[in-house]
This record gives sequence, structure tokens and C-alpha cells, in this order.
Amino acid sequence: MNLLKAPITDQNIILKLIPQRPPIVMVDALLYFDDTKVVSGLTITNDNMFVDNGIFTEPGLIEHMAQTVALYTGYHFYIQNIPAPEGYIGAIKGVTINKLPEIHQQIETEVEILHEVLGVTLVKGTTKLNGETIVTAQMKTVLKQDA
Amino acid sequence: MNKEVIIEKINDFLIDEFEVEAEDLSPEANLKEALELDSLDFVDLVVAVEANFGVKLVGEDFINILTLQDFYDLIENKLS
Repeated sequence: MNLLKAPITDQNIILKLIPQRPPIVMVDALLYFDDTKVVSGLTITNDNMFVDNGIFTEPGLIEHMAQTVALYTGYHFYIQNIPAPEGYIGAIKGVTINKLPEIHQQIETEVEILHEVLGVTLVKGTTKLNGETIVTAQMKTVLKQDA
Repeated sequence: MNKEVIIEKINDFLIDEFEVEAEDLSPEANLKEALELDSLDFVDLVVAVEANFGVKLVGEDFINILTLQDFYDLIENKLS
């Protein structure tokens, strides 16, 4: 069940949920959130740093998926009124990219939390463009530990 | 499932998924060293255990796990 009353598209709120800052913000909407799943959105703009000749390139798609995980973590802490810790991608495997989006198109990425163990989160991500799956991958993300 | 079957099943997926040799899997071997586990690999171990035994491990389960024997005992206790 979606725990959001409405999708979050206010960029000021999105920036509160993730540690990244422009020009490397690769999510612009939080569309769904529950305990084990999150869905983000991104409309590809011409000034996106990962756009090349009007095409959103592979590193951008991976960063978008990683920031979707960051949104999950960020919102999880946000609703508890706790500052979200920073995280990073520990590993990526099984990446399949079938298609690259173009500018003005909107992509949506669903990330399912498979396991969380000892600060490492294993997730399965699926990115869709107009309902068509264009990227699938598994990622391990790691929360930064305080020194 | 008796202990011998559990150990055999564990060793099978360790050999298969962590690419270790059967002769390296002695009960007294250090789990982390035998499997060359880094912090990211523990989640793979959790996934493998759940896939093979239907048991979900959490971080706290690994606190007292030093040897493979400890790991065998952990799974046996979870199944009992």
C-alpha cells in the first residue's frame, strides 16, 4: 500500500530526501513508498549532465536508479524526522539496458528492497519508459558509517 | 532435516556461489576467510540461506559466527 498521500514532486522536498545536489540530481519525483518498495520519476531535460545528443546515457540511468534507493532511505528517515545518512553504491550486477530515453521523456524506476543486512541493502531495480521496461539491475548500497 | 544433510546443502551452495574448493570447507575454518567475504558479501550469504532453507538471517545472527561450524550450527538452530 502506498504510504504517500500524494506523489512528491516539489523539488525542495526532493532535495531534502537525497544527499545529491544539482547538477547531479537524477530524480525529480517520489511516486510510491512503502516498507519494501519505492518508485521514483525523472523527466529528462536537455541540460541534464548525462544527456548526449538528446539521449539520456547509461551512467545517468544507473545514477537515477541509485538515487531512487537514496529516496527510499531518505524518505524512511524523513518521516521519522531523522537526518538521512549518506550512502553509496557498493556493487551492481545483472544490468540490462534495452533502450535509452530521449529528452522530454519521463522514466519511472521501481526499486524493491530484497534484503538489508549489516548496513548493506540489496535491491532489485526496474526502470520503465511509457510502461516498457528499459533497465533492470541489482544493486548493493551501503550506508555511510559515522567515523 | 538432519545435521549431515544441512552441512552438505550448505557446502554445496558455498562451493557453487562463493567459488570455494570443497577442501577449504573444514568445520574449523574461519567463515570470513574461507569464503573471502567482504562486508558486501554477507548479503549474498543471507540470500543463499533464504533460497536454500527458507530461513531469513539478520545482522545480529552473525555476531557470534566465527567458524564454518558456527555457521552450520546457526542454520541448524534456525531450522529447529
